[in-house]
Amino acid sequence: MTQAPLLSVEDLRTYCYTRAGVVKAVDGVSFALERGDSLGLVGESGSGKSMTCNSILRLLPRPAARTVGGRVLWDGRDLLTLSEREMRSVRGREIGMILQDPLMSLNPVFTIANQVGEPFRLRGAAKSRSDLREKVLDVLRQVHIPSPEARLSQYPFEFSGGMRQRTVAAIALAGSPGLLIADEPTTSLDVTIQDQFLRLLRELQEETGMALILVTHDLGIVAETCNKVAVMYAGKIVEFGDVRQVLRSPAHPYTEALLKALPVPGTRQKRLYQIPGEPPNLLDPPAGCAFEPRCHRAMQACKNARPPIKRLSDGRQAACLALEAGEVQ
Amino acid sequence: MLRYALKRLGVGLLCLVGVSIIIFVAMRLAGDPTLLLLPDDATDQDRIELRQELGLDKPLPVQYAIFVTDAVQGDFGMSTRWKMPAMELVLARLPATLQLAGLAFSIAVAIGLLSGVTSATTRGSVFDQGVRLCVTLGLAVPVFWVGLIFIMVFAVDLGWFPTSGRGSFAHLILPAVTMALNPAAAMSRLSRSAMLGVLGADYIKMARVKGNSEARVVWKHGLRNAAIPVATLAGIQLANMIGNTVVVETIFAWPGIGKLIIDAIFARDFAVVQAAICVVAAAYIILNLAVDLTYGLLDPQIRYD
Repeated sequence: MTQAPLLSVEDLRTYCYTRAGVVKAVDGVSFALERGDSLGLVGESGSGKSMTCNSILRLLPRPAARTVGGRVLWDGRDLLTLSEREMRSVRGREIGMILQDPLMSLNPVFTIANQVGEPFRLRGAAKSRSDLREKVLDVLRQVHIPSPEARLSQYPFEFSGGMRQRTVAAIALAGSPGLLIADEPTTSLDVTIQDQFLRLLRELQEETGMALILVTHDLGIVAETCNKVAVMYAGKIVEFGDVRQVLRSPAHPYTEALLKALPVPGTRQKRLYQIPGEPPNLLDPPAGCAFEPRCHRAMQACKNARPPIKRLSDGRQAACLALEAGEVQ
Repeated sequence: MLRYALKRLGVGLLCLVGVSIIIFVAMRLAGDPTLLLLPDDATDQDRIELRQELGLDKPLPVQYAIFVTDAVQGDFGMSTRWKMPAMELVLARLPATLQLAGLAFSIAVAIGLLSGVTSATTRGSVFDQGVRLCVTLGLAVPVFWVGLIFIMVFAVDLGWFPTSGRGSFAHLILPAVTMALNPAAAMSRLSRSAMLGVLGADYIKMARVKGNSEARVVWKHGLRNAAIPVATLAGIQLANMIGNTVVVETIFAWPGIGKLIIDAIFARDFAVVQAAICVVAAAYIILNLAVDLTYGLLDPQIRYD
């Protein structure tokens, strides 16, 4: 720990205040990213992946959700303590974000040129109209929009889904951010387009050296795209580490179960493995480990104590009592 | 787009014919103008002669044919009461009505949009609740009553504004505010719900992600998408205002078309009523067309063909 990491999230807590009670959507999440890292944030729906990302950029749906604790250190500053004005200059410029649904992310009533040009205009990066036009064309070329000149005056409804998603990426790139957060960027695209888009993300990352947080529930995508992975369960990170280590020999029983649920190409499986039970009710979480009711390694101690996240001998981190008892590995 | 506009104008012309027939027949059901024009001691012979002079002895379809033939040439007949060309009379009163309707409309849109959009962005707040109460009041309270109360409070008791008539800018304020209340409430309610529908959209979050200020997120990215229903209502309201000045102009003795129509109806002045109604109907048709054409500017997906 000689140099401060690019992004360091420490003990982040974001709670949702619903009529039925308080949901600890993000419950003490910590991780760090270096320049050029790409982190896969995986977990099932409702595990707190998107909430974590929205907390970093402070884009939570108010007043329903609020970050109540922790720090998000970026470039020496704690994003959670910045003024709204300072935060605006972080958004789009220092940290970019790609939202889930490309069909809905573009404003239907403005032209492509207008929307892609907006980040440049907002930070006064274009000297003239023709300069702005050139910059817009540049980023559109960067994301491989065919014949971008002809596309400038078009509207989102004239674009295909894949092209819209690449336009969204172009908008994110327009700010030349040091970190790009992609919140399930390919969920609503078909598989071929999905693959193209992920390849584009990797390519852009190589070109610009930016870091990437990729939210997904697809471990296959993580294996292809990321070098680090964080597995979330019930608002907590249960395992964090190098992608190859984690996917090859998962330390946490939940990661293990997730991997087991993946279909294996070339084999004939009658039924895909399914993790028994259901995710816990976050309004009334179990007193001990949240995964305990579904875990095949569960011990009596798991019912009572929440396992702390511990660094293992190979450098990765995992939160499981069984690990300490030496049961895994 | 030109073809669409011409087609709509054609349909509008048909509407105008329909309106003129209805008002033509209705006026002739309203009573015999010769009863009012002649002195009490006039003989039946005098009455028959006057009816012949005014052309009222001919069958209704013939009278209408004569009216249309003249109207097409710009001649809407003579006013029996004011003894001057009916259309000239109407056009002389038009600026006063446009002034009143224009100011009332501006007030309604400004207050309606501002309160509605702010209400939507601060949903559930005290401001939002207050606006909702005001909207319900604004929609429920009848215009004539508000006008009378305003005159009592602001003109008679406080003496801030003149009670009635036209002259200075101060004369304009009470009638304009009275007229604006109801449309402002409707505009507020509609823009609130239209904005609420838009604010949850992903492109709004995207606008925040880009680093837009909250004001730009709401007024640029949000409002443009909520603009179509708002523009529709605004168009209907502006058109309505030109026709609905009758009540307000009567209460405040505002010398516009509305007041003229009322006076002309009481005087059985057929020519003036017909000319005024035709002008109001034409304004209605043109404004509606204008609103439909602005849709194309507001939403790029709308094409006219």
